[in-house]
Amino acid sequence: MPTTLRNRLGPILILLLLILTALPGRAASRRFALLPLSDLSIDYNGIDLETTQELSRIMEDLGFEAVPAAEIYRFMAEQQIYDAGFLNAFNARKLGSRLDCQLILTGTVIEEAQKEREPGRFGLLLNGFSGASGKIVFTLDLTSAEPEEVTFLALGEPRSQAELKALVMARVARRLARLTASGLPGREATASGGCPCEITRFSLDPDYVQSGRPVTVTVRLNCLDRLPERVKIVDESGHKLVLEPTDRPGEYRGRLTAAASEGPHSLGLEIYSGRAEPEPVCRESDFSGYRVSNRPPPVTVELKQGLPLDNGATIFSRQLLVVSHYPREIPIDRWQVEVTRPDGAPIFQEVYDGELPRRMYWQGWDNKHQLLDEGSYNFILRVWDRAGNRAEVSKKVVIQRTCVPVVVGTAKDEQGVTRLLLNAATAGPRNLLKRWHLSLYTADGKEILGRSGKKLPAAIELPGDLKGDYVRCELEARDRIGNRFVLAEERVFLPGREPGRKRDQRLQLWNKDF
Amino acid sequence: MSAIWKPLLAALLLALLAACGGLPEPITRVMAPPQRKAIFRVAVFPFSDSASDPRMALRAERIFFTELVREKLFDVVPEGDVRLFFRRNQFYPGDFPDSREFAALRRQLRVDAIITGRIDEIGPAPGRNAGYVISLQINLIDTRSGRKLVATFLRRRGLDYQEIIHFGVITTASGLLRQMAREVYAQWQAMAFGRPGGPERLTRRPQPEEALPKPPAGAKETALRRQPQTG
Repeated sequence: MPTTLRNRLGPILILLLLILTALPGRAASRRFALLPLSDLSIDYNGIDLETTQELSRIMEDLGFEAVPAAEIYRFMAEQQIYDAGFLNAFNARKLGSRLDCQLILTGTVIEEAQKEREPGRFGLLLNGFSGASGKIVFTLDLTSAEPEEVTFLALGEPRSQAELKALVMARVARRLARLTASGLPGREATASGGCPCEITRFSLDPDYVQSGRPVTVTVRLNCLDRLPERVKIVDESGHKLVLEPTDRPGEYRGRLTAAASEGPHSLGLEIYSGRAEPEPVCRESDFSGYRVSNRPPPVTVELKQGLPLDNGATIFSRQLLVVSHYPREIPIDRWQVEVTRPDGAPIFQEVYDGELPRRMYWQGWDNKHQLLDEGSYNFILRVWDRAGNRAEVSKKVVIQRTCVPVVVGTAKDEQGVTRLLLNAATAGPRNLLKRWHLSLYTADGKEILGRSGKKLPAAIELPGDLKGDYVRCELEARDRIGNRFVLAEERVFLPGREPGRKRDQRLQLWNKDF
Repeated sequence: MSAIWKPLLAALLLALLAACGGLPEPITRVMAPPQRKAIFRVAVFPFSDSASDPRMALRAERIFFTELVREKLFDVVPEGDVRLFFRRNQFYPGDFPDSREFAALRRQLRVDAIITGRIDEIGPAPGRNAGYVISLQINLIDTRSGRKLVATFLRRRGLDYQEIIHFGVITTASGLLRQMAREVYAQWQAMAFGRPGGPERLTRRPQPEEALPKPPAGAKETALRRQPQTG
């Protein structure tokens, strides 16, 4: 080597070294962060650190630089990331920015044989996020099992779980090599745009409100670098409200006045990096909203398992099914059931918080859990929505727990035909008779006839050759609200054969002799 | 050819034909009304498992998510963002969103549709190394209307993919789920999203970095017309 060249080689090498070390981001462009792999083969919240390390080695063998695990764990702790296997786009960006890496890998071990005797199986899912944009840039899904790897003459067949896992991991390495052949996702292409903060909480209390009432807005932010100086809420008309930071880092709170017009009102969020900044660094329009309502909630009530009467009341016996209808989007705050006497005196009252059940039963009890007397009452349902609007539905109800009694008698008509007469008692409960069934027996127990019917009064012709003074009658009647009336072994005397009448006749005969 | 070989060859041919007979198609109903809407961005909701193992539902959800990203049918919201949405809106896995929650989904995740899934049946198929049998339902639901756009029911066994002897049998639940995901998305692509001239053309929103392919000179408009990104 000529002396002149040898003399110049030193400075050239130093210059080359300086250029290489001064190239910005060169190392970073080959850095990746691998989050602990979730392991669903063990448990719902399992973690597979062994496979995580193995995968990290594969990536390092491909020429990429791994972010140390301790730094990743510190980041996860700071960001309160307690689950493995997934990440949101913003945290991927934040991780990429904080730990200076281009690619973030999350994954799940979805198959792994747990017992020695069972055939080996192994499966891995991987998601690759761009550290700059937070977008998923690739996914990878590989699963295999020993029975699926059977080859001709058993050449290269895996014989154990370890061999199978090694086989799958080799495939993972090949796929990763192909996916990253053109390098990791570029920073320049995707770094622009995107909000520097993520909204982790946005609450409006209440979010259903009457016009002019205050609404408390709470926003919690997670930011890439430092927290913003100012956060503003923007309503539909462009009015802005500055939110003040609370004691909790990243949390801002303010109070706005609900709009005058009814209906939904959307809200946007503006994030300013500095107090004097005229333009926000990030604007989230139509992010959340509240609804204004000044009307009572449109609740209707239907009473079932009772019978509607002509006067609009509902009569029932054992229980009343109260079916309420209201639009599902109306948030119910609380509701009350009240039962009063016709004069308005309350006898039953219960108040509940939360949603109004679609169906509820009332068995005619009062507040002391005792059955109310038969009679008329008012059933009132009051409902309050979260805005404080109140609706009231009142229904008249009648409790009747007994069936109308049936009176049985006999009579002989002009032609001398004997008939059994059935009729509803005039006094007592309302006549809601649905059907009746009668069985008639002679005094010595022989069945004479059986009849059924739906209406009363009824006259049933009896055979003319009946012996004895009476017939025995068994009758069952049911009304339309489930009450039952029963006559068992009732003696019904035939016309002219009643015990008193017989005595009179005998007396007359005895008198006649004198 | 001797008389012994003829029936043997016939039996072999029959076995090959039976193996190549193909599987029944997934039962898919495209219920979208005939209006020109586009589904660009979707979120995969947690799957429910009417069987017993919650891990299996999560496994199925992640496999369907991974395959959806791989298919590049839509822009897919990462699982972490879906979980953040659930936490932020006090929404629980298994709940079906109401109109307010659909509006919140549109606002916060900017999704046009959600994918829900339910595993109806999962368990080992009878027989040694016969794999699993899985039945599941997958729905694509429009966040604007809350209505189902596409619903698919699919039942598969690992043995369904047997080629000859024991080759081709899928013996793992994950492998079978991945195969099912591919079948479902292939059918969606064919029936609902890629059918040229169909009543409902659902196409993928072009990504900002994607360059619109220039049509060749004199060529007519392609069946899958891409719309420019808005907002």
